[in-house]
Amino acid sequence: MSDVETMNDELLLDIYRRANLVYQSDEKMRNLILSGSLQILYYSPRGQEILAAALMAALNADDYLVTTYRGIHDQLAKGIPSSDLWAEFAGKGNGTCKGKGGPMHITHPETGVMVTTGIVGSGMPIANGLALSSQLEGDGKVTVVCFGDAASNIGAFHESLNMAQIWKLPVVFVCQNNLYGEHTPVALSTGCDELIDRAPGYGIRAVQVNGNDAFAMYGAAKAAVDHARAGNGPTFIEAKTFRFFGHLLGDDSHYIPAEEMAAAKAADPIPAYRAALLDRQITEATLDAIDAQIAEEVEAASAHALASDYPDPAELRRDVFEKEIAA
Amino acid sequence: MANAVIRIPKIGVSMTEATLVEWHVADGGAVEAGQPLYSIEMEKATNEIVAAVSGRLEVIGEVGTVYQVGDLIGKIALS
Repeated sequence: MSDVETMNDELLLDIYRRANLVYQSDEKMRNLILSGSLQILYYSPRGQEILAAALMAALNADDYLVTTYRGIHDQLAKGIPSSDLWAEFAGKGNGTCKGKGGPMHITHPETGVMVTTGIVGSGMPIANGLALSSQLEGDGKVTVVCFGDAASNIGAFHESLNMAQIWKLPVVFVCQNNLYGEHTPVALSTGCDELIDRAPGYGIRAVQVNGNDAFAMYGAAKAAVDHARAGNGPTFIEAKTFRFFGHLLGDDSHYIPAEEMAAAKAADPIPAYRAALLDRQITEATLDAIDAQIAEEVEAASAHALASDYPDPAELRRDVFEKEIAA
Repeated sequence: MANAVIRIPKIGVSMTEATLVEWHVADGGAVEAGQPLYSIEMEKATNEIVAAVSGRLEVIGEVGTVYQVGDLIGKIALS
């Protein structure tokens, strides 16, 4: 499944860069929110960085992405420029959506980030629509839609997998299974033991993978994307992962057994991937230089966001209808 | 020396205010990034907030007082 052998250093470092951009951005975001400097609701992706980095590295720059409110890892890894993304998270007028979307609705068509939705399970029919347009236009693009484990209990998940398979749509459904839907473990909300067990009912190609293993995740993603681009239809990927900072920042994760959290942190995918690269003779100096470059980027992007202005109230009348609403 | 401000964070969907219930570090004490700094009570829950940076704490907010999100409750002189 995985083409670990064919993953060259350039690709491995690309994944490293994407993952650590997410890691450092998330840390900065949490610090600014907890110190009260940035007052937004935040759903940290800490622990899910490698999954997003390996997944997005398997896509072309103009492929489409649909994601959810826990989506900053997907959005940064897909390539939204840091300063534009940070400004939108802060609700500023120079953000990706002119400050009108905020963290829950990040959109940046220039990098293929078409929709971020705040409604659990609502992204999949939208992804099918994007994939259908690519199929009709013959533009060769693949759509990836990310969602959590609990979204697989929503009706739209089942309808979307079925329809995508019937129409052989170029779409990849990526369930980022972090084992908890808000505050509820999968076992208390889902009838089957493994989410991948739902796929055979729709005849859809399905893969279960350790999303925190960059090599396995990239292999699964690349195979699914190639399959879709070749016109062979959709894939359902269940990528196992974990989140370290609760559902919403401020949630103390008391519903997660301490030993489960400790085990997950001991297997933190960020240092694990760094160790894997060092094992492959990539040097500390190379990785440190990337980290330093990212630190500068994050510092500049966050400062830019904090210093920028909120949208002009007149913006309320724009982007609602085709023409501006008269004052 | 540069100071990092400590303001009441927004950590709940409908949160607008919180009661400062405890400082875990004394005024003037040394703070390490990541250590529990203070606790607030809001929406029937108590949350422990960790320090974002290391340095020396200057307490401004008073225990038992209700503060709005964004209110300044302390500073950390960066070390």
